Amino acid sequence: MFESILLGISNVFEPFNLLMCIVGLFIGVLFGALPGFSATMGVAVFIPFSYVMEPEAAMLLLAGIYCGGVYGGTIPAILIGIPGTPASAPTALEGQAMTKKGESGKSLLLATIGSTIGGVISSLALLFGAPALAIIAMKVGSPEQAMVAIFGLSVVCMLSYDNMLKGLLVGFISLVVATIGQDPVMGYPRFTFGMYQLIGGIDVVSVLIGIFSIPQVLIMLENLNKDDNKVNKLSKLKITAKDITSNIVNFIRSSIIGVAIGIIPAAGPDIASFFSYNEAKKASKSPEKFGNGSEEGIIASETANNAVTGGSLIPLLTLAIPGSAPAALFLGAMIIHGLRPGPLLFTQNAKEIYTLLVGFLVINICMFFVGYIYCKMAGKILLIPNAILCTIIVVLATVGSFSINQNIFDVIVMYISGIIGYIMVKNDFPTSPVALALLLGPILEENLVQVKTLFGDNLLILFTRPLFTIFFCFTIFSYAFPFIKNMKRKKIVER
Amino acid sequence: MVNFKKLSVDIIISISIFLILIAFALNFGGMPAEAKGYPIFLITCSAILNLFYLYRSIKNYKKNENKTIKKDISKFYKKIFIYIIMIGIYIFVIDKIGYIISTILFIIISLLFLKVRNKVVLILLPIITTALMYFLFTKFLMVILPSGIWLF
Repeated sequence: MFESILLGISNVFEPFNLLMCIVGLFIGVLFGALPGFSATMGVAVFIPFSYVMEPEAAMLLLAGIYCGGVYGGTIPAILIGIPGTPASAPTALEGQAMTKKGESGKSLLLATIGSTIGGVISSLALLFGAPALAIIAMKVGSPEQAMVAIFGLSVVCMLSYDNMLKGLLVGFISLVVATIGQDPVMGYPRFTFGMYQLIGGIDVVSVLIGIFSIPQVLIMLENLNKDDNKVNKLSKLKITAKDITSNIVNFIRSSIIGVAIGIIPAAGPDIASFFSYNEAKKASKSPEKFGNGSEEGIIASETANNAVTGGSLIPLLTLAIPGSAPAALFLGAMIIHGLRPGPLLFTQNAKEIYTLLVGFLVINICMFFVGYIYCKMAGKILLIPNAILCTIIVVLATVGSFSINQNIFDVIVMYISGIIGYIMVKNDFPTSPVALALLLGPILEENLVQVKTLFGDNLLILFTRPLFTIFFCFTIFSYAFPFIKNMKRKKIVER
Repeated sequence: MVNFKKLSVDIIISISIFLILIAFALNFGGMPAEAKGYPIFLITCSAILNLFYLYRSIKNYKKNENKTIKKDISKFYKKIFIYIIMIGIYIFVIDKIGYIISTILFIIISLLFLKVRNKVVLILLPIITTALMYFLFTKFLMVILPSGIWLF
């Protein structure tokens, strides 16, 4: 492992790879900072750009966009009072109060330091935790892989526990869509509706670009006339040593919360941010400051939401469970580059994967400097009219989806997915399950076929395999959890 | 002002899902048993879930039948609808008249439609964006962008 880490270090510091880390960060922070845009949208739109790159550079670019996107939400949260991402909502509350006191610069700098520390700790957890988990995951065979895929899909259920029925419906229909194209046993072309372009299946990346970019553009158009955001004046980016030393416990606690929540599928940066904010309030010597411009609140929220990034990649890299929409996009990009997440990834693709793991750490360190530059320029960036941004995103999505296979059919797929995505968003259907189901569908079918060939109808024998039984229990729990939670909520309401 | 019964949208979506599932199910004829087992299971599950969704939508609709939501949404959806059509036309013409002309035209029309009146932006943004992306995709990503089958 030590040798692999050294290999990763030498790769990350190759000029082009390092450049991709920084370019990714600049793009990511921009996507996170612009209200209405998100890290998911950034990763989706830029996947085609990574096609021609070496897998290491491609992964570093996307990792930079992901980390930068999560951090970027801080800037409008503090300067406008609108969180760029839901995970920055507590920051918006505290940041606005501090801005009114003329401490916008101080709050931005504290948030940047918190994000960097959270990101660095989560990178270390990823660097040492993922290979350790991969050793356990080596014992995974096709029955376990099938069960892991079902577990991954049960994330669909958890992702949409406010509206489970719609989440499950979207998940199952997306699984049906994933069966378009040749079947894995006989190569029979299924559901092609007479179109030769569908024999190879629907291009997942085109669907994801459409579903995560076009709906956001159309929603921004709805609010186009209301976007006269007032950007508050930026005060000096200055803090004292005491601001840092008095918050050391807060930094560590929030980072641990973020990493732990990141590992749990479906629990994303927003949950980590609110949870950590509440814990900081409970532990604070001056809880009355919370809501009136608390530095502790900003640090807790921002440290935790960036600590999620590394944590969320641990189940993805070791078990191929993407626990969030950006992680699902990562999975898509990895498959395109011939990197199949799972236990063998750490031995078969050690060079690429350790470059990503070490790169993640470098990205999070660089985030402080990139963040600092953005804080200085924030006032100007936030004034870019949405009309310009919407237009550029449409062109990027169109040309990006064309570049995947250099055919217009993928662009049409992106366009239709975008319209369906908009209808889904407007009618409270979750879109994240689409990404998970489309990516996990083929893996699930392939492994189910193998299980049937190996074990026939005697499926009870599978329960003699400990890992299969554990994953089975996890799956049952994750399907049952939202039902139990809903029932509990109803009981509380009835009382 | 439009009288809009929002809950009926759920019913329309549910019926559309049924139609899509039927379209998929019609493909099973002639498909080998090995290839259709897994999709049959998925389509059955989807149909059952959709049945629940339809039942819930009808129940909600009946409960709220008399409550109509009055919103001036006609103008609002018209704008979105026109923009969707604009993107559709852009995609349709991109391989007909080529990337450069179609993208420049789309950006100008989109900016005008979205009420950007700054002449500098209207002139410079289409040229710079189109050129920058052309350079990025053709030189850096080695993608051959459409040159236009109607032109060449």
